[in-house]
Parts: sequence; structure tokens; C-alpha cells
Amino acid sequence: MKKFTHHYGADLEWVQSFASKLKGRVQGNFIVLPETISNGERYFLECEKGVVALYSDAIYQIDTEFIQENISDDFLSIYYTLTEGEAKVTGNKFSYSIGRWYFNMVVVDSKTKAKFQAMAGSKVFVLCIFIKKDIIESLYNKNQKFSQNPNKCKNYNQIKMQEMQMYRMNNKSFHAITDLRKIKAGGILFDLNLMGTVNLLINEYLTILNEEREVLHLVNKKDLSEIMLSQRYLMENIDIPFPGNKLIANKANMSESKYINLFKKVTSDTPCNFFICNKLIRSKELLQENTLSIAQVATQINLTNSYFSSKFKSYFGISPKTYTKQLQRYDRD
Amino acid sequence: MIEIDHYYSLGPDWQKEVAEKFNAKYISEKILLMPESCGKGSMYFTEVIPGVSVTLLDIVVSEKVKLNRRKSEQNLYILQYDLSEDGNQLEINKKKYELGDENNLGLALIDSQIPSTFIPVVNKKVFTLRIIVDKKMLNLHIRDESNTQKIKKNLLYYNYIDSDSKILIHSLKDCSPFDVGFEAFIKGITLKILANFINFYLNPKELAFKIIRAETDALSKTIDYLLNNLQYQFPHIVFLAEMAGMSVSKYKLLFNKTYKIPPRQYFIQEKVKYAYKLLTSQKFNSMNEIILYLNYSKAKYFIEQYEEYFNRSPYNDFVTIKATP
Repeated sequence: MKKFTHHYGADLEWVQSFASKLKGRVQGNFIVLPETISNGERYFLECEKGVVALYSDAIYQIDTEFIQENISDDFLSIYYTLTEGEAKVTGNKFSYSIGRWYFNMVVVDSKTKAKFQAMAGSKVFVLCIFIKKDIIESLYNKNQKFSQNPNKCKNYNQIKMQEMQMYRMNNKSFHAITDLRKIKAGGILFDLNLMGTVNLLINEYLTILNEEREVLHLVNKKDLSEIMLSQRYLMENIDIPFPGNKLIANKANMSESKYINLFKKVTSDTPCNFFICNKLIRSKELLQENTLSIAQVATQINLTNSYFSSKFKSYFGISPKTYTKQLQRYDRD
Repeated sequence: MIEIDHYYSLGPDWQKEVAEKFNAKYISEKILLMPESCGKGSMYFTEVIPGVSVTLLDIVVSEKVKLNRRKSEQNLYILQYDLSEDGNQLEINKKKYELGDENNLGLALIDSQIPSTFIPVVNKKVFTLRIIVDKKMLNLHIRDESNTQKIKKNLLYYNYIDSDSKILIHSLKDCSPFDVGFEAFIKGITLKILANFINFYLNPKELAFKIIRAETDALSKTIDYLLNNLQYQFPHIVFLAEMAGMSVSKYKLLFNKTYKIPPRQYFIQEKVKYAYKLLTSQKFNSMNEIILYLNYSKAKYFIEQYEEYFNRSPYNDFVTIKATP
């Protein structure tokens, strides 16, 4: 296994040394790595002062380990990943699989020494956000004072920070990232979309902090992986009618109530709602492709026509008919 | 009626002025709460990136309000996305425009150098997102001169909101400016909408009339039928529409859009072309034979149609049967 020790930061100082350590070079906003390690895109952008995004979509040729030893400890790294294949993150105390169907949102304090492993052949997709702690703090505290019930809200300093926090990203973030992935990296359109997506993701992180969502590594590991497996099952069988909580709970070897509770903890959504939302998002993609009529799309995702239209309208705010009328797409080339 | 003078700028100074004039509560240079005397709701403002700011107006007014915007010092464009329940009035140079509402156009691009008046509807939800962009920043990305000219000439550019931007703006309706992370959220939405806007001008293609594949297949099925039955009379349009599985009006519309000619006209044109082939085929003794073969009831009618298409009489083209030696 090839090992690299490097550092990140919330400014662009790390870029040059990162590239040279991996025997690559910096070209515009791209970091080009030698093809013996990986081929694909690696794009960095300073969104604003103290917020840097690194967008990476690559296939690894050899087993690679990135050991992150940061010089400064004043920032947080938030990783959103849709990796397909084997990848792992290791901290001081524990080690977890990460990827599309595992933990896909990891927050690491910059003072932690974290190791990231990617196995040969895995399709690694990561969107990293490096953000100064005081920016997060000021964003968080700013709106706390408007809160309706001031007794409940906490100051940022009172939140217990683990050295490494594992989450499953919510549906909205998942699709924000998939949308970003459809656009070709580089150029003003991508920059604006990347900055936009980064801001949406920061919003999600702030919401998680506020909700005090249970940090997932405290939940029984086996149960958790069952939940993620059943999410995968639902996503891969998006065209069937909802199989019912009982059936999927059975599949995951849990009682119905335990299953629903745990599912809510992981996704902050009920299984049925999660399923319908994904159906609707899939239908939006189908409408974008513009080969099927609205009725055909409804049949495709197994909803009746009128139910589909009303659900679509309540979820997206406009009806499918209006949606198809004013469609505008990005050209990938 | 309340009348208020204001201007736009990239910084929060303009909002402060509005707050003072309205006598409204103004919180941390971001949120303006409408005074209860004239309605409820809020106006949110934040800077997004250098050269881009955004303000979200989410109010219900209980009496008529007139917002007179004066010329601003900075050179700006204002992108106004309107998703209100009913049409709001926008007055520029004494010309009135309706914005918002499902049926109206929702996007307006306004030059900050030209004053305008905005009159929101009374007792209905007013929901508008205004992106304030530095002219230099936008002109840099919209290189096409004709677009900037268009804006200058009409004083205002007026269009539909594209679907994805509409969905993005709708998602703002679900949150309140007091939510944690709202600032990051609205910034993200603004940047994505701006990217959509620029994309539209970088690749200026007409929003093509969308025909789905199943429909094109059905159309070509009827075309095949027509071409195989040129010899007979034009089948009724109801028959063709039924064959394609559409209503008559939809069939006509789609046919027109795809082939740029109405179905009947198309049939006659193909029939006349076929007649030309027959005329020159040297297989017929007289022209009357051909006219009968093509199921015309009157020879005169055929000649008319033929002349219209080829600009010459069919007699000129007719070649009689080859005399066998």
C-alpha cells in the first residue's frame, strides 16, 4: 500500500505541497495526479475567506493511504462521500467503512490524525469542505439569539465535539451532490454551483448541530449496517410499491418499532417518506431526460397519475407539467 | 397608502434606510420585520460573494404600499424572481408590467440606473427573491453583446423562470430567516440560481418545443400510413389522431411543430409529387387515367393543386406510354 502524509487547511496554502508529495502538479484549479495512482478530477476552490472546497472524483489504481497530519488546528473538515468500492477512515480510537452505502458524512477536527484508505479499483467521490471553526461558530451563534425558545438553545462552545463524527447525509444533500456531479468541473458555472452546494451542505451541518442528532457511532454497529443495507435496498428498487415497514424490518432482523425508530435516527425521516421522496427525485430525473410523458413517468415509479402530480407539487412546489415546460439543462460537454 | 423611496446597493446600507422609513424592527443588519400596522412578514438581506447580494421579500401587506426605487450610485443589475400568489405591479417609465403569479412571467432583469416602482398586491402572499449583481461581474460572463443591448433597449428583460430555479426558490418557502443556517442556505440557493441564469445566456438556445419519444413514434406511424395511401383521398384528421392516440388538437399541434406543415397540406404535397412520378413514368395512356388512379373526383382540382406546387401545368410533364415498336 502506498502511503502519503500530508496536511489540509482552510486556505490554499496546502495545495502546492499536497500536489508535490503525490508527484502531481497544479493546473489552474485542478490538481493533476500521476495516472499510476488515480485518474479522474481533483478540483479545489476557495469559496470565501476561511472556506475551501475540494472536489474529487477519481478511480484509484493502487491501494492508497492518506495520512492527514494538519499543521493548524483551527478548522473542521467535513467530508461528503459517494464512494463506490472499498474505503475506510481510521482515527485514534476507531475505524469505519465510508462510502455511498455506509457512513457518507464525516466531520473531522483538524487536530485529529486521520487516515483515509482507498482500495484499488474503487470509485472515490468526495466533496471536502475545510472551514474555519470561528466561521462555523459565528454562523451558529448568530441565529441562536432569534430562537423561539431561548432556554433550549445552546451556545456553540457547549456542544461536545468528538474528534471524528460519523453521519448519514440527508436526502437533500445527497441529491444536491448528485446534481453537482452532473456538471462538468471547471468554469464559472461549476464554480458557482460548487459554492452554492457547499453553502447548502454547511446549512445541513448547522442543522445537525442544532438538532443534536445522535452521533451514529454510538448506535449498535450491526443494527446500523442493517439500516444502511435496507436504505440501499429501497434506493435500488425505487420502482416497486412501498413494501411496508413490517417486511423491511423483518429483512433487517428487527422489530417494526425498533426499525422505524432507528431509521428516523439515521435519516431523520420515516422509511415510507424516505422512499416516496426518492421516487419523486427519480421522477424528476426521468422528466429531465424528456423521453417519457408524465403519465409514463408515473407508471415507471409505480404511482397513480393524480397522486404523483399532487405529491410532486407538494414536494417541489411546482406541478410536473409546469416543470417540463420550462426545463433548462446543463450541457455536459 | 404608504409610499417609500429607496435604492439598492451591494451592502446593507439601503436596507437600513428602508427600515427607518418604515419604522420597522431591524435585526442584526439582516432581517427587517414589517410593522404590524401595514402587514406582516420579513425582508431578509445578505451579501453572498463579492459582487453578489440577495434579498428575500416574504410579506403580506394589509394596505397599498408603493416602493419607489431611485437610481443607485453603484452600477448594478437586479434579477427579480417573483413567486407571489398574485401578480405584483412593476412600473418603469410609466409602463406597467405584471410579475409573479402562475400565469405571468416571473423573472425580470432590471437596471439599477433606471428608477422603477414596485406595488405589491394587497392581502396576498408576496414572495420575491432579488439577486443584486454588480454589472461588471455579470457582463464578464454574459459576453454576448446582443443580450446586453436587449436589456438596454427594453429597460427591462422579462422572461419565464426556469423549472429548476423555481424549485430552488420554492424550497426557501419552507424555512424561516430565524432558522439556524438560513444564511448559508439562502447563499447556496442564490449561487445556484445565478449559475442557472448565466448558463441560460452562455448557451442561448431556444427552449425547444418538447416532444417526447413516444409521441414522435406515433407521429411517424401516421406519416407512414399517409405515404402508403397516397393513391386515395386524405383520411380524416380524426382518424389520424386516433391512430396516434392523441386528441385532434394535440395531433395537429405536434404535427405542425415537427414537420412545419399541417397534415392535410403535407398529404397534398406528397400526393402531387407522386403524381409527377406517374406522369413521367410512361405507363399511362392519358392524364385522365392518372387522375382516376389517384382518386380525384375532378380533373380541374388536380390541375390546380399541381400548378400550385410546381408552378407549371401537368400537361407539360405528361409523357405518354412508350409505343412499342
